[in-house]
Amino acid sequence: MNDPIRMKRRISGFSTPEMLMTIVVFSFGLLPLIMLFQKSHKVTAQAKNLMVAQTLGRSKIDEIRAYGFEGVKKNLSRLAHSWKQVEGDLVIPESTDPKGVKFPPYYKRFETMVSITPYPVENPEKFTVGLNVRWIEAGREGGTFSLQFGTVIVKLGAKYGP
Amino acid sequence: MNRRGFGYITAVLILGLFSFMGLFLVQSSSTEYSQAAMSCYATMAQQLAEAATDEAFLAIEKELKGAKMGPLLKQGETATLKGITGLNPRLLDILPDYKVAAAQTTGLIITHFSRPAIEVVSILPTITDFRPIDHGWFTVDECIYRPKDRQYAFDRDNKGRDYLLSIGFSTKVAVKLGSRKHVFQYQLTRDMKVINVAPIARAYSMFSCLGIDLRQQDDIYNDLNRGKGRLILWNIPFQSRVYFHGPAVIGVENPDRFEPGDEDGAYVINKPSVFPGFNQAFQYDDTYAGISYVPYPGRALWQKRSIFGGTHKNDLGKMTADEQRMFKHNTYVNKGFLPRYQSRWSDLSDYFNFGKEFVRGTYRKQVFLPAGPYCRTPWRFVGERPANWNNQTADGWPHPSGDLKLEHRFVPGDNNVSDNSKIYTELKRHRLYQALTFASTQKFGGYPQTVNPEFSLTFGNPHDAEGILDGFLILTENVFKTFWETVVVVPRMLFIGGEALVRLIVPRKDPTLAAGVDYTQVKNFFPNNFKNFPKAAVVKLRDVSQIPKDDQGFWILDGLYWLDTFQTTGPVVYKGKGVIFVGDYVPARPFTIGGNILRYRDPATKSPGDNHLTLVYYPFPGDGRLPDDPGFLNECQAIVQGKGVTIEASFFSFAGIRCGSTDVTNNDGCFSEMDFTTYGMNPNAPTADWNVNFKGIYDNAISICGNYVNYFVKKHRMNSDVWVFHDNTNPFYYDKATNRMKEEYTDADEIMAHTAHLSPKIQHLAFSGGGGE
Repeated sequence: MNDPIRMKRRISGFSTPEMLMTIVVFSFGLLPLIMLFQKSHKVTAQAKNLMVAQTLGRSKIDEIRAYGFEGVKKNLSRLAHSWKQVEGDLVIPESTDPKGVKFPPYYKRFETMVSITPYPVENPEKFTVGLNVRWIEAGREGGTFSLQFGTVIVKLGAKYGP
Repeated sequence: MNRRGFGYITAVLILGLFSFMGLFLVQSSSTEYSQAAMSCYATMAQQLAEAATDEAFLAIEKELKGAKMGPLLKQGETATLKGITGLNPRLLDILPDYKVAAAQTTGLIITHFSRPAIEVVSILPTITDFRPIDHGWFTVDECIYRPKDRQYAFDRDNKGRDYLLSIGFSTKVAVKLGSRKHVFQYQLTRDMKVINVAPIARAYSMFSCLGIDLRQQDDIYNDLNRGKGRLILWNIPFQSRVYFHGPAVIGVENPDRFEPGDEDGAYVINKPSVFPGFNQAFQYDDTYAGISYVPYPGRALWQKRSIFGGTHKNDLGKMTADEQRMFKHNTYVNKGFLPRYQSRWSDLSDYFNFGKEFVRGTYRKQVFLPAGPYCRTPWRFVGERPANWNNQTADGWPHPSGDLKLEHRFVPGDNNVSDNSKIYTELKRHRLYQALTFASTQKFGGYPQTVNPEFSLTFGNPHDAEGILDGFLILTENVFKTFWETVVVVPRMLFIGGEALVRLIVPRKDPTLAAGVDYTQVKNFFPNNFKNFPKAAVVKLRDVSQIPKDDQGFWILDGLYWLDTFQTTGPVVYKGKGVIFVGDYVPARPFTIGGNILRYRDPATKSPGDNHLTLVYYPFPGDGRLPDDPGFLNECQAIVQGKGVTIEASFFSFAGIRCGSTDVTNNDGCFSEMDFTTYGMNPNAPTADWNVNFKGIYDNAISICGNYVNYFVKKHRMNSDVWVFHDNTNPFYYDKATNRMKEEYTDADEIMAHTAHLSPKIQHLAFSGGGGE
């Protein structure tokens, strides 16, 4: 019963105040760390959105270029649009394939705007295409983030008009 | 208390660990973001570089189509099919940095992009290869036809060739992030074709590479004399060339075979009050325009006249200055003796010198008129023996031939080819004794004889006596000359005729499309600017509905369009310069022209400018037959429907044209005798007095305004009249400044004839960079 060793073991460990202090210190230390993690998470999310915006910028510009000069000329009013939520078919023009690839739901937080300017206005030989992509970036000052893409489509080869 | 206090240490260690993790995480996230941003900027840079490069391509295409076509062609002169590319292939001495061409891209950067700072740094062109397009035999100099009177082919200096080059642009775009500048490089290469869209054999109103199908032996005698319609060549007199590969026989009309008033009829000798008909191939009058279709000395007819003299017409004086110039131009020793009143001294010399020979035609209606109506638009004179060939000598005594013979094939150094490809006619030879007012025709002693002399126009008359002394001298000369002509020339004519007959039995070996023919057999054979058309195509289209059109529906020509089929059902108007090529024979959709094909004319000036179409129908049978199958050759003609069809183009059809109805009661599209007078071509008036109603001809016959080229003429398929007007309103053919058909093509002509086309296909693309500077 009076084994000093046993008694010594029994009394080693953290006292309640010690624990409380440790927890307080740990908590105070952890708080900025959590903010750090949070920031990292936001930056990662921003990077993800940036990549999505880039994907949108690349694919939409490529699709418009794929129309070629004459295609753009014929579909001018349909290709150019004001701010519009990104949804539906991935391919322009809208696919009639019911199983066609659609934009993922995540893309709904993005909006695009396309402007197309002919040059010269009469009998154009170039179209300047500007694409704006914007989205709400949580926790960012101003909330809205945007990127610009653009290209120029020219009339090469056989001339199909005056 | 015996406390060890590990709790604090553990907590601090854990916190430290978490801090490290957090820092790494933040660092990782920041890097990820930076990479994502960089990727975005790279995408933007690539898109802008792509846009700037396209703008540069547009600019260079414009430049090479226009102002820089000349330097480009000049550079290509020294390029060969293999080995040597065009000198200075980078073209950097004439092609600058195209940064200024990217105006829209620069504008886009300024107005559209909020970040980062992007700049197009440079757009530098490179030409990596520049060679002629290899058209096989059509590119071999020896195989391109050059006539006897020229030392060189028409498109010399290689500037007339088609070219293929690879143009690349290396575009640099800089993206500035903070103090660092990231440079991206974008490279894009496209092919460019530079195509000669000028007419084929443009110095020729007609160029028939093989003439008739020699394997069809009857065709040698018959093909050019069959078909209800006439093939009429309206040459620019003594300037336009006509090439016809022989042997072939052009039948000449005999007026005695007609009755007065016959719609097909002609001049009736015993009723001179009846005007000569359109097909009258004999000299009936003492105007130069009445030149006969037969060679000197075999004049067709000598008019009787009074012992007291006759009317001496001053026809040269009645000609316009242009006509006089054309008549004198480059003909035999730069002169043409006008047929004129013959003196009594000459008559006496004729009488004592066994009379004169004359010849008559054998056909009821002549249907191939290479010198136009009444022989009044003769072709260019080409000497039989030019001095510029070492193996040939000038003609000697009695005098060089004054006859205007059709150009036919020859090969330098091989006279057999020339002798074997001549064009003949078929005549009956008579002999006429005439002194003063007495005349008799010898009908015995073997006359009339059938002869096959070379087909020709005679524009020289026997020299006329100017006085008694001159008369005796001429009499003496005529004695010897007649002796020469009787002893030497006649047997030669007979020999030539007989030679043609021999070839009926043993046809000459002639190049055809059959396999196994090498280039030595097609030396000096193909017309200039002939080519392997698919190789020069810049766009492939299904049919005429896909030909680019402007807002008014006019065809826009630019380069060589390769069509699967060609069928028009109404009039079309074209703008620009180009070739339309059809290479397939589709029986269900044969090549058919169903209406006018007209050059666009500026509404203000009414000028067609340099708009030009070269129409090429070179069909390949899709049913297993070879292109030279005799049956195929008789069915693959280009069809022209209707009688008032005008084709303003250089028209090539492999096996000729099919038109009109074979129904003998249907004479649509064939002019009657009265029609010629109605349309202003009075046979009894000199050309200067003609007031030709060309619109009337265009509206009532089939007209090709340009030139006509074929492999086989297949005349028997023409059942409507076809007029070929060598176009003197088209700068590709005619120089208005000098009033001459063009034969030497200047740099300006070659520039006008060529169009440049970038391929829509990308040959090479690369994008790299991003490293900071």
